[in-house]
Amino acid sequence: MARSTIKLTRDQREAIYQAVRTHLVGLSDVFTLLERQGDVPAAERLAREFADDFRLLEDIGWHEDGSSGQVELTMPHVELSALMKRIREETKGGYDDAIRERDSVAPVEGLVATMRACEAVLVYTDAEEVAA
Amino acid sequence: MAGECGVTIDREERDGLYELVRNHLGSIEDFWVALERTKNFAAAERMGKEFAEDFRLLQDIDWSEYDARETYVLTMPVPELRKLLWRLRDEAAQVLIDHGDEAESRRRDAETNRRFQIGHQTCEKVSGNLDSPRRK
Repeated sequence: MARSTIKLTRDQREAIYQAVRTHLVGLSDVFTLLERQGDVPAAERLAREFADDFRLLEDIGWHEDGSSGQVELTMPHVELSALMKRIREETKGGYDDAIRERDSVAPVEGLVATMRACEAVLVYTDAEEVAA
Repeated sequence: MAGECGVTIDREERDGLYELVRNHLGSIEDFWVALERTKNFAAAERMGKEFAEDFRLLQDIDWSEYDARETYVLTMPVPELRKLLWRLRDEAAQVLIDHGDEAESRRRDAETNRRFQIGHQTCEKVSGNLDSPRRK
């Protein structure tokens, strides 16, 4: 079966980019886990997540401004699906916290946009999974 | 598509490469500075790719400092492995040259210094094998 092309709109790209960038703030935790805490499995698991982030950024661009048009996602769809599910879950956790703590509306809107962008990608990747 | 390299290294060579990767991971805070403080996205991208290479090598040689296997097969695609080995070799050479006669080096654990040397030699050896005509 031919693999469908998945493209993000500028707004979807921005929403996912912000989530990835927020996640990447914790990159140094890999070193901390490995060197200071000696938690090798946790360091390895976290590193795999960051490797996925880096791979996605190859597609959507590293610069915060991004491109003016759509961006095509070229990651293998199995990996892309897993990544979108992780970002969605992490974002959902942040959203739940924000609602519970009655944070300002603006950040919540950004979190909703991220979850929706992930859902939009998962529509494609999950459909392929079912068809296979 | 470039094939996997399939080069086998022994435990001592592995320990040398592990030391070099560990040394590079020590600069991981620079990534955050580039991404969030100076907003040097080109630098963040370069560093991100380097750390991704480090993580990929650690999949082959194991993340634990001590690993009981006698041999390790490097499964990275040849171009990526070559690039990684050249970088690690150059970083090792810089450390060995810069601190060769300094007090810091004398204080540094002798075993760590030995692993740096072996790591440097392993990079030379494996990248040399990758470039040998028989592999082409």
